[in-house]
Amino acid sequence: MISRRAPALLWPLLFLGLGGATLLSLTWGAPVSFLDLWSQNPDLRDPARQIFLELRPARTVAALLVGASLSVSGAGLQSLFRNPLAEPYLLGISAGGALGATVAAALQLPGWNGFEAGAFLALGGALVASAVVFALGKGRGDALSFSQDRARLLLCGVALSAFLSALMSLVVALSGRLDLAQQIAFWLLGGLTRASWAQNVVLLFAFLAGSAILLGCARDLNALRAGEEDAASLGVEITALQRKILFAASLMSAASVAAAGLIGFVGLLAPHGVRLLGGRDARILFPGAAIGGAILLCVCDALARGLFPPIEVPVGILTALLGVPLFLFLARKG
Amino acid sequence: MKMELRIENLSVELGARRVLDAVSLQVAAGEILAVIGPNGSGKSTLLRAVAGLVSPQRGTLHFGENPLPTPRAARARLVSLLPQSPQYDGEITLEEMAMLGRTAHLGAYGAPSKKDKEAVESAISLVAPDLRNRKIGELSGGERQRALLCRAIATQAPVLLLDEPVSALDVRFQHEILELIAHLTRERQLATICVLHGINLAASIADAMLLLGKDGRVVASGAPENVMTEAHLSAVYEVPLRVAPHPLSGRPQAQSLWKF
Repeated sequence: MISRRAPALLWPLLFLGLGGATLLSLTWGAPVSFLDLWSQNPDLRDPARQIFLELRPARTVAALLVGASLSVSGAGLQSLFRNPLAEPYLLGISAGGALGATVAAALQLPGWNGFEAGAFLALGGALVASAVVFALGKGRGDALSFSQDRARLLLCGVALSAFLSALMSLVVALSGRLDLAQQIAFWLLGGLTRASWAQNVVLLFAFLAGSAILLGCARDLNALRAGEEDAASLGVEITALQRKILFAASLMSAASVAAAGLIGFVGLLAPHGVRLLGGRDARILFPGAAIGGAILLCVCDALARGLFPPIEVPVGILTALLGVPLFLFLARKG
Repeated sequence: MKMELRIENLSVELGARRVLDAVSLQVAAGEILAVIGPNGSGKSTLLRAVAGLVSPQRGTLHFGENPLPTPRAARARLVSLLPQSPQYDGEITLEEMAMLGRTAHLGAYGAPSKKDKEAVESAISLVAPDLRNRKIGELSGGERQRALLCRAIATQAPVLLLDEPVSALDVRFQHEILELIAHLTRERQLATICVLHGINLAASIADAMLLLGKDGRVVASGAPENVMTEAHLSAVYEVPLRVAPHPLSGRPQAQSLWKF
């Protein structure tokens, strides 16, 4: 039997997790009880309705979509670079998106709050950043072979991030707007406070388009596990594949950044969890990573809201606290 | 008409260096051409050019009547390459590895058809039935070569290219793998080009040989007896050699006269 079936536990675990995380996010840490929805008292019922029927669902859906997008984006980059540490935040792709969104905000392009102009410029920034980090990480040499020096790629990503952050600060400084500086500083910490249905539509589109591109490359990404040169001899058009993956990863990171700021390490944590459960084949890895990322960010966002009420912790802080130990573990494993 | 791979006047430059210079050769289905030559004589480049991994500056490559196609998938359906030092994810199982050989036949999503599964099954039962569920990272050198061979056979491409398939193996596995390659070549009627460092091993299994010089030119080609001469080998390898027929097989074998 030739099977690429997922290990038995993978899907039940993921779907249970997804259901649990969604429920947790919808109900936990609200100032009123879920049961107040059916209360006869309008002072209890109206806020309950607003929270449970409008604010919470939008935010939960945003968390699910941003988590799924970041995770699939990370899984795609890990496959492309054949580097387990690759991730949109660490490679500077998120910073590219953030710079684009910042420019849109500084120029006061329409829809900063509704986020359309920001999303487009974020996509532009993320695309440029991913092209740059790809070229830098690739280094000189043969058109097909790709540097297997993991640290080199990460260093390029870190340097690129620093450069783009400096540009971002420059844009903010030149705009001469204090409110913008504050707004952006908070947004950069990563959070889903601005979640809205309009934003969710954009997120959904980016997630579906990006995932469709990646799943359409499943065969080639599996072949890539044997290395660029081998994959080429097996029939993969490497350059076209690389472009498609970079575009899909940039699209999903850009939409996430524009919606929720810089949230790192989701693209590291979730795909590795799925691989640990046996999902190495691209056809299992990508759907698995999508659900895993959705669970992770949904839970982290619920924790961010519920851990220290009434203070809301930016969710990017929590994902970093979880992600950095994994990063160090993977880096040590070599 | 018997299908054959025909290369005419092939020249490849990498950077400023001419690696292959006007190389011509033919390999018929069911035959092994062994390519020998010193380090840097362009043996691997020859295989890479046939596989479409480097583009030649001049020359033509035909299989049967038709030129070898340029799109990678079409090329891969005709030519399979067993690379010299593959990079692989050690977590891949042998079955998955063999299925990678079907890449050029699968749809974009990569779901295998009945035909793909049959090709993989028959490759595994022919080459590595004992390794079916093993992970590549756990295999010994000889087993790993069989796994790669399994992938190459699963492609069902009529041209098989092998880049030093036995150089990392001990004597027993060298013989085992080469015997397997010879068997597959006859059984599947493959046009096989095998690059080998060991000239005596090459002379033992080849139907024809090609000797490349340091400048990437063909020094000699044809039957092993005509290529494995003292004059040719001594000139190319810059070592004094004596060639004598093997006592059992009668194949020409070289012995170094180097004084240590």
